[in-house]
Amino acid sequence: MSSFKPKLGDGSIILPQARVKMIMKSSPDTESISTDALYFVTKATEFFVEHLAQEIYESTNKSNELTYKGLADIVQKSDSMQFLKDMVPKKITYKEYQEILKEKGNGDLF
Amino acid sequence: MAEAVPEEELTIPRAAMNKMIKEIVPSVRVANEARELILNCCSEFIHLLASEANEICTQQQKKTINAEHILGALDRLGFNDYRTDAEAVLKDCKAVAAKRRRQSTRLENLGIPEEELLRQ
Repeated sequence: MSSFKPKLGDGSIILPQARVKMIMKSSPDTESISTDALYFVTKATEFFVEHLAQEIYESTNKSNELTYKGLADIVQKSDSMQFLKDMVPKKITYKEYQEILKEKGNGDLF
Repeated sequence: MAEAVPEEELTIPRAAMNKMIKEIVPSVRVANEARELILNCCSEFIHLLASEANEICTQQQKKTINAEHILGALDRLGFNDYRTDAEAVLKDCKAVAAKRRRQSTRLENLGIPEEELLRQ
């Protein structure tokens, strides 16, 4: 994994902290969050987006498009992005899906 | 926006996301599908961070999640790069804020109220 040097590392924040706080609070059992903590989460999320965008950009040989496929590939490859695997499954053709079903045996899916 | 956003759809506003992507990879077109996905990935990331930090917080028997818990969570989740950069940024941020406070005190001593200066 290439070393990550953030462009957005100048202290300013683009993402709205209020919204980030709402998202955090919708997580079960999350009680109060300190101001500094909220700042860190917001900043970390910005770095996350930046990292994601940069990785996709690099891996698609600096092509001019960020696509679903590019994203799916990165998520599969990167260790730290594993938590996103379920959100960005690799698209498969219906034919491939049928073969998977055949291998698993229909009963196992449910 | 007056309507309440249902919890499952709680994401970063698109405008903020678009602005970020523009700054990071200005010459790149981003498919709408990919934008949508990145928004959802962000929410997922925030939830992940929140749960992990919450766990650390509970282990320490504290009631409020503080910066240390977030930094610890970043480490545990394998995002140490973000941790280092975020810490550096916070230091800069605090330095800038402190400088601004010092400057405003100096201005007060000159007898020119801050609002006057802001009006100029």
